[in-house]
Amino acid sequence: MNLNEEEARKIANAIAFGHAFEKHASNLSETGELITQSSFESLILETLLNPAKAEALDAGRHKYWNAEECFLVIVNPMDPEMGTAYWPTGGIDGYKVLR
Amino acid sequence: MGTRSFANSGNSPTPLPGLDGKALKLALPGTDALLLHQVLGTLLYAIHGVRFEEQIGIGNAALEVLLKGFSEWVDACQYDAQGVIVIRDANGNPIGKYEQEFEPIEIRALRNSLEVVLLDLGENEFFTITGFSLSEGQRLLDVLNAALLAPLHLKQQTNARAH
Repeated sequence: MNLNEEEARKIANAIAFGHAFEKHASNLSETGELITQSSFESLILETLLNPAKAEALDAGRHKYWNAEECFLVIVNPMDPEMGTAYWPTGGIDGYKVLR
Repeated sequence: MGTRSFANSGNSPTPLPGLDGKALKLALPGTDALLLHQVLGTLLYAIHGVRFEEQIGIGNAALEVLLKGFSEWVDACQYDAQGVIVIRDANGNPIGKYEQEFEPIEIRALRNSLEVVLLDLGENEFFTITGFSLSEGQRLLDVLNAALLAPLHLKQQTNARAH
């Protein structure tokens, strides 16, 4: 699913300012650094616009992988928050296993 | 699918109360097999801080073996032109079936995995990450609970009275 910048910005904002920040990013990033909500949003946007990998999933969802940050974004158009984003504990296996 | 040896996590050979029964055959519709695949993948590769032996009942290596079985089945499914797994027919009914014999401790591990993932992801994320609703997860939890109690043949005893 190729997103234009406007679509990607809208999704990144919805995810970053939804539950995902508190659940996955409010304490530490993968590198152990504090991450702000706006930098979380930027990371999601960067991942959506320049993914190392991206694939369609069952039920209208899409997954995007940021290899440099080992970061996963799942876009779900049926979710009011448009999806979620996190650093899978299993790295890229956490991306590959999703269908 | 046939039988295969239990993915033992190295526990004592002493039978555990309630868990020393014979292997049970599960015949899961394709959608349930995919959901369990998603659940195991999420538990193993996405959720932080899972204490596998304590929460699931088997270690993560044994759970990886269970995931491998589901992954092989999922990989063999049909995929559409966009690479999306085709798991339902035009009427929304499940396609395919995953048949496998499991030790009771493995079914309990599947049940526990599903319970942990349901509770951890909750309403916000369960559908987004697995592609299934919470109610579908809850229904599968009931299926696995019923499978664990299958040796009691509860349906045949519905007319029996305790006293």
